[in-house]
Amino acid sequence: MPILPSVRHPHMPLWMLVGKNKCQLFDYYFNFTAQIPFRHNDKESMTGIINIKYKVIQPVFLVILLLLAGCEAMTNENFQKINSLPVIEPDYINVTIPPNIAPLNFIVRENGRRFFVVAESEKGDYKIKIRSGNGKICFPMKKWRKLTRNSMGGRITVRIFLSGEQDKITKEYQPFSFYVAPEPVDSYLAYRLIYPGYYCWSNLRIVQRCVENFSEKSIIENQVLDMNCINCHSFCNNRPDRFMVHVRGSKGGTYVVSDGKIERKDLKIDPMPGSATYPSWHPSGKYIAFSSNQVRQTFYANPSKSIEVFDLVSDLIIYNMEKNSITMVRDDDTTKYLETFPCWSDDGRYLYFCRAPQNVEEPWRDPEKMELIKYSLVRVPFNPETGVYGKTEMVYDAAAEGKSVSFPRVSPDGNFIVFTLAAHGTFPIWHREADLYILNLQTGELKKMDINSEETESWHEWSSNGRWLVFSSKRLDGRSSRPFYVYFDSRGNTGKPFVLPQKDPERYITMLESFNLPQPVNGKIKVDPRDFVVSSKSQSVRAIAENLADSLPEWKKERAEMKRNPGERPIHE
Amino acid sequence: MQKSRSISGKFNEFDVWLFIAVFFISSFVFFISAGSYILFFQEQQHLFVYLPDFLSKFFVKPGGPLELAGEFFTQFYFSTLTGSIILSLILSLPAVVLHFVNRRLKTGNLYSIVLLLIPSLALFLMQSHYYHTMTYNLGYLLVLLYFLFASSSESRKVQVATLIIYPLFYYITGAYAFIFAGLYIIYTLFYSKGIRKLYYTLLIAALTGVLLIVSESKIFLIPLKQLLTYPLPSVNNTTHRYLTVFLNGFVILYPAVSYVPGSWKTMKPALKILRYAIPAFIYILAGIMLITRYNPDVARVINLEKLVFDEKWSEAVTYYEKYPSRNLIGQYFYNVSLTETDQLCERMFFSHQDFGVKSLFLPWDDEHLNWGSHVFYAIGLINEAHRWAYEELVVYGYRPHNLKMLVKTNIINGNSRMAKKYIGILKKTLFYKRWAEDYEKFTVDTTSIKTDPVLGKKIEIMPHDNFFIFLDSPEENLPLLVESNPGNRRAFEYLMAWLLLSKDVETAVMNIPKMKELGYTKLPRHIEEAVMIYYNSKRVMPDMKGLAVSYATTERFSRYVATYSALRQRAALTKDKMESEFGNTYWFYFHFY
Repeated sequence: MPILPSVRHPHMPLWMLVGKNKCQLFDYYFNFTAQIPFRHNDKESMTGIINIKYKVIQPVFLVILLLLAGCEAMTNENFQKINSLPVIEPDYINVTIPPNIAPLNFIVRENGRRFFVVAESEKGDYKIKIRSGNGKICFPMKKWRKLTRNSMGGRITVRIFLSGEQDKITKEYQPFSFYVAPEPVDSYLAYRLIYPGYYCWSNLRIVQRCVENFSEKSIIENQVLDMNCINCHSFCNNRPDRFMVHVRGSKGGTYVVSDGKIERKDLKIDPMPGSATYPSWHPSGKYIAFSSNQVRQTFYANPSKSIEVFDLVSDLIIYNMEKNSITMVRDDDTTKYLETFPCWSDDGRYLYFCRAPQNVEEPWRDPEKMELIKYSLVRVPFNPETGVYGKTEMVYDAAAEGKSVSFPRVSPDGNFIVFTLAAHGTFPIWHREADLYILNLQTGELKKMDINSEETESWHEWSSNGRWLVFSSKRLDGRSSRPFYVYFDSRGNTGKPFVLPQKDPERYITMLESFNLPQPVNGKIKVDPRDFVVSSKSQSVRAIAENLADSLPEWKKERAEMKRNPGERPIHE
Repeated sequence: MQKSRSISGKFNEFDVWLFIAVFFISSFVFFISAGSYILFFQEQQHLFVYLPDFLSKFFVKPGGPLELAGEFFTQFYFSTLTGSIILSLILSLPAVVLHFVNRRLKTGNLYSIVLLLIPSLALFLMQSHYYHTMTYNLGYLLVLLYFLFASSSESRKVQVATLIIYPLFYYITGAYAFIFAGLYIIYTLFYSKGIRKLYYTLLIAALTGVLLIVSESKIFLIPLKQLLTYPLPSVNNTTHRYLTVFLNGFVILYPAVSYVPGSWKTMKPALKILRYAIPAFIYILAGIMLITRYNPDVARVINLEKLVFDEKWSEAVTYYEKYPSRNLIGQYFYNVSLTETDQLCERMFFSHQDFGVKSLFLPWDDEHLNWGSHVFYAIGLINEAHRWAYEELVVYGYRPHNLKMLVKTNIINGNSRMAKKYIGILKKTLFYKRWAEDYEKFTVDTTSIKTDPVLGKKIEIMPHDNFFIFLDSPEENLPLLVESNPGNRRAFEYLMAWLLLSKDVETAVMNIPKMKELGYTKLPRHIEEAVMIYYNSKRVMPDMKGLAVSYATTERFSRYVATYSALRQRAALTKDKMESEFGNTYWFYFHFY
């Protein structure tokens, strides 16, 4: 019997150790012997539950099955124990999952004729056995639910066996775990499906996926909206009945959903340098902060990089839902900066955003100049009652460290802020070096999260209970972003992230579209694309300027009026 | 009904099959020879991928299954022989189906052969346009098959079954169901008796209306306009549009047309020759229409495109010089092929360059997305080649050509994972699996990329430094490419070609000193010719860092000048006369374009 590792598994969450002593853990790991009979024709093999309580019935049952099948009983002697973990795709080995997540279907990437998987709850009171001829392991939904429910706060142990010729099991890999956290995740995830391309787009859909099963339904589709670009979906406090979507083009406008009703709004007022974009809902639901940007993209010649997205000009605005009015966020300093990616604090008393000094001339002509654009994290105090904001304060001077901040997201408890840090620029989607960092707002401690990969991590969002963070990662193929969930405990520790499970575990392998801007939603969204079509036929409600004295500084005006190159289209990822 | 059945005799049966066989053979001969370019073009428009995600997209709208079937058959166009057989069969089947329909209708022998051939002939003529897809043929065929069922009996059971199946038929064929509805109404009006006429007519009309309303408001997320028209033919060609309207009308009115009585039995023996003469006349008419519609320039360009897509560069050069065209894409392919064979500045004027610099880079728009990547691939700007191919994929979906380009560019750029992804898609096809497996080895053993004669060459000429690509003025990338990688002679020659085509001889000549650094030991022919123009104008040879103009060129230039002067003095200077002797020189382009 192997010796128990003396330290906890690197991906084992701390809560796993609470209430357990090492001995229990020892038992858990290694008292699971390999007396597992598999039959020829038993799809999902013995599909069911063999409860440990039936200690008397079980051996009899097993003997009968073995006799019927002519299989020899497996013992530790007649197959090889491989001293390594199996390769599975997606990599779900030792991940931490919420109890309400859909089955973590995967493919075994090992050579074998048949594949056998046993997933067992920590208490040993529930077990699923699956047999596969092609390596695809798909857990039955009901059994998976029971298994995760029985394993809440514990873990599920997964063992993989392979057979060679004649269906005899020849190998068993090291078992691995799914750690099941006690806290559930928001039951839905909204994202846009889009090709991670350059200028062109075709069919665009913002969909809601129930993460508790595999159902995926459209919220809005551009094929019923004159193929307009649809983007920037944003939810107020993860609520399914309060969110907004931008549509650009003939059906253009900001479509705001409140209590199931959709209102089409025109948020572009004269002093704004561009359209309203990158929204953030105030926790009260009364305000939405946007940045107003003239976004451009340019393409690199050398294969080490592909695309650079940048702002010619950007400003912050606050939209007052009740008054239908827009306030430009300005102070003496803001005229010198590019300002983007607003995000409200949990109590709505601060507006965080990213800003970079406007001191680089025509960066779009030279990659070296582009590298000089670096955004730092700042915030302005805000009084939600009066709508008055204060002076900008520096939160993290990334530029001073030669880095650039994007996408700040404050945790629901207000203790942390997670953002993307890249070498330069405002849009790290195409920066392989972009990683997620976490700043403890209480202590000021900044650290690189241990969930990053060699590829881009970005577009993250908190679940409503603050225990899960969903983020986009390009780690699977380097180009298409996939939604990953990671567990986050109250002390800021994380589990190993896992990609959103799919019914067909091969989906990510052949699928080219990105899961853009994944947003956790705590219920089913009731509106559907037809509701948006109806709303698109209505006249859009034009927002009014709160302060008519607002105007753009000269340099911003010049850049706001710069024409796009022929053929150039808005950025859409 | 009994009456019509009795008219068909054995002899007439033979006639029918004879004419159908003649049609099939004629169609087969056309598509395997002169019309083979249509098969290639259409095969390149779609890629049939055996993946659930790909297939499921065809089931979310009415008419999707029909399109899926169309794409399924189109994949066999990969082989001209198989494609021609399948296409000719599908085009012949409407005649076969109508032959069986005629047994049910009161069609007289006088017209039956002609009538049943018309849809096939119309479809054949429509198919001679390269944008007419298999889906359209199948749509009409299914309408007729469904009608064959509906007209198989006047019993209530059959009519009720027809109406019950109708929603399913609508889901499968989309807007073709409306053609069937029209056909069924006409059939009912002419062939049903009593109250049934009104009854069935109203029922199918009401059913159509309900289907449309329910489809739009409850089932499918498709705009009404699309529900009404998809996937009916929508080719942007006047003749094709007329033929579509004619065919739709003909099919709908078929029961009425066939209602006109007539029989050879009542005709004078001397006139019975017409039974063959009329169908033969129809064939001849169709043949004339085919010939007048046939555009050899389009055929040549698409044949050239095939050679380019297959990377048969030398054959492409030879083909274009043998069959030149006054077509932008053709000349662009010629320049690309010359670049890939390192002879752009050696022989670019050996064929037409009517479009000047425009044939060096295609404009950035949807129309040219299909082909624009090749030039960037040729000159080593792989990122831009990837972008064009990717944009094409986004706009038009999977195509063999764009996926192959994405595989190659990702392998060259070192993105093995993405290359594998595209290879994985190609491996799920019938005819590109082998190609994908050939390229898969580069993702496993990445060191073999550099030793591959094609991919290795691309890596050699890629830019070493970074710069932002000029999208709207792609020629501005050329000096940057050369500066970033002085070993990139293809980019340099493309730059020189740009200067020659824009008649900027001075700048072209000023670039000659760089050629020494690029490893040239002799000047390419057309650059020598540019030097002679410079010399003729400035009376001084430019600095060529030791490179020299060959004797052959100076001698040829002397003859050119002499001929040019002589013709001009005799006021007989014509483009044609100069072209016959000097059409393959830069001087001719310089003077006459």
